[in-house]
Amino acid sequence: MKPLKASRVGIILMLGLLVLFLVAIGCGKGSEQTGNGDAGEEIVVTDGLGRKITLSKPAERVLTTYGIATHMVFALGAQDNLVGYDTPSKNNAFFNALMPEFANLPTPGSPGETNIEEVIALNPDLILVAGRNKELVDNLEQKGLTVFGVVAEDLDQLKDSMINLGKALGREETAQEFVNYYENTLQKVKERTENLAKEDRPKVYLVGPMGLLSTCSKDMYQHHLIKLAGGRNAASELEGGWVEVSPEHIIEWNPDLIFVVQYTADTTPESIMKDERLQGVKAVMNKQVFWFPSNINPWDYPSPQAVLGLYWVASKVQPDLFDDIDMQAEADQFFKKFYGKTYTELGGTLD
Amino acid sequence: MSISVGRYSLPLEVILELVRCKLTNREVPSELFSPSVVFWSVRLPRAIMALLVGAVLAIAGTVFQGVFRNPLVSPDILGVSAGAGFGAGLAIILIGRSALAVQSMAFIFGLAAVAAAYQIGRRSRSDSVTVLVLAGVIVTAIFTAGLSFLKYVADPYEQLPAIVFWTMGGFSNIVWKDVYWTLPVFIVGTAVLYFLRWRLDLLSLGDEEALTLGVDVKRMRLLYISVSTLLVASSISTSGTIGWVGLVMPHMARLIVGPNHQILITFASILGAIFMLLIDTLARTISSGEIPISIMTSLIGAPFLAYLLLRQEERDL
Repeated sequence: MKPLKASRVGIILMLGLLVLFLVAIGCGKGSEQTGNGDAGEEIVVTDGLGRKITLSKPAERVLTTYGIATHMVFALGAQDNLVGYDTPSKNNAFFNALMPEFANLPTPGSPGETNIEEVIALNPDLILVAGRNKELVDNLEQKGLTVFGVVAEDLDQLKDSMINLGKALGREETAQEFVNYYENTLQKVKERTENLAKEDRPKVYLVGPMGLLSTCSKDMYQHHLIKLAGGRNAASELEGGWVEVSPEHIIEWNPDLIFVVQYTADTTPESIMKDERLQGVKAVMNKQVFWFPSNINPWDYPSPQAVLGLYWVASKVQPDLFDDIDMQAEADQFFKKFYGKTYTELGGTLD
Repeated sequence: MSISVGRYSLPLEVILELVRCKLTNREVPSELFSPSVVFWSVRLPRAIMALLVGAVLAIAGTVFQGVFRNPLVSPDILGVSAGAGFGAGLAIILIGRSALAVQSMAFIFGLAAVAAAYQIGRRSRSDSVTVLVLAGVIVTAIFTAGLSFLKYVADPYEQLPAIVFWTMGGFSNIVWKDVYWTLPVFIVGTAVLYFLRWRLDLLSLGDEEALTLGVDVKRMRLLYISVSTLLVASSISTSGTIGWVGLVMPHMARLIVGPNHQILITFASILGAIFMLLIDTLARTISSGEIPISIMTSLIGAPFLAYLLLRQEERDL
């Protein structure tokens, strides 16, 4: 029995040392934090999780580990303040085209996997992470870092995020311009579509990321996008994110239009037009099968360019109500305003 | 039966009418156009594929259990599925999405996985049946980790969906082209195993006995394993990894017809085909969406393995 006890004491001692060590590190960080909160007025913003965040001045060293947050930084024109960004955005042609030195910046992680040591080493004033990863938010916060959880699962959250991030990054004006543009678009589309009767709303089947048989259920952003634009989501009876269906579903739903997201697997509008199983479907018979723009960035999820996605869907499902909208010109104007280059200049097309 | 139930309702008399039209080369009446597409282009190829894959998996499982003289093995337990999934992921990232590249890489890595599991099992000092199973667990873990790594480094918009799409599988997207592609492999592979089935009995006697009876044990074993792995890899390439069928079907068959491989293989393949069709029919009718088929096979297969283990224990006591 004695040797066992001795080893137990050893373990307890080691644990004790470990705790002391951790406490020491924690204190060190804490005192550093309080040291530099002196100059100017404080900035208080609210993140997507409803947390209040206080900054002594607009953030100059910004880090993101979330693609949508990276998009927001670019839309706010604050990309020069980036000290690092999420790994999946590394080869994003759009970001690289807008910012030549983008490829040389460090990429300390993705929403799921973040290298916390590298994050700390980059010494950011503000870290933007996916708000759904609450653990990461808490974890980084405990390291004494300032964390902003970005939640933009619907258009309202997107708007709030842009306003608050605009404040935190010292880009309030741009953020306000964005929100104005955004609200105008929304208002315009809503006015024209909200009183449409069910039978005047064409049925849309959206091909999701896992190929022809994956689609958006009723709890997804894309579902609301289609609805707002004056259409009906074919899969609105299903729930649970991207869902799997069978070809029989598509035949039975008989959609008027089929949209294909460009990040899908092994499916193209051409392959759908040729698919013998879908020859009786209205969308195929009437040649209403399209790529969902854009070839630069997807417009179907809640990134800042989602407003363009809304316009695009509206112009496809309700062409008569939106015949005054020149999509390419609209996109050019939006890109020029928020990114400094037109959509056409960046190689963007609508097909 | 299976082809008449589903999302899109197809009563039996409609199917009969459709078949009559086909046989007499008559034009399908316009009101039957959609049912005709559902029947001929969606449900029929799907049902045929389910039957084929079920049969092939059951045959491969029977052969594995005979060759390794171990009732607890099957291609998916020895790591074929994990290896094939990894190979396919590697092909998608390094070579591209051509079907030939993906399928051959899946086959090569599937084979490598069994080889590795077998070597680990053989070199271990204890010669129990569980060691081989544990070796399979190890190999599966390594290849699964490898696949996760590939997913991590894959381009999230181009390659990642392709990898997930490939490994997920299921029968929902089967068209005639898939049947035409895999049928030759299935026929040749099954024929080889079928004509050599009598030697399986010899192999399952043990190496020494088989040698004295004039069987080239090493070469036979390699042949059996490669052909079965090829069958499994090509079934994975059309319908994803479907676990447990290869393990459980041979046992059910053995319970009914006994251990003689001459009959066992035929019977297991029929049982596997019926089981697969049944499961696939359930998968597409139970809920309003599609339930991934591997969920269903695991739910039925895993408890069955537990039952086998318990029964074996009782006998040992």
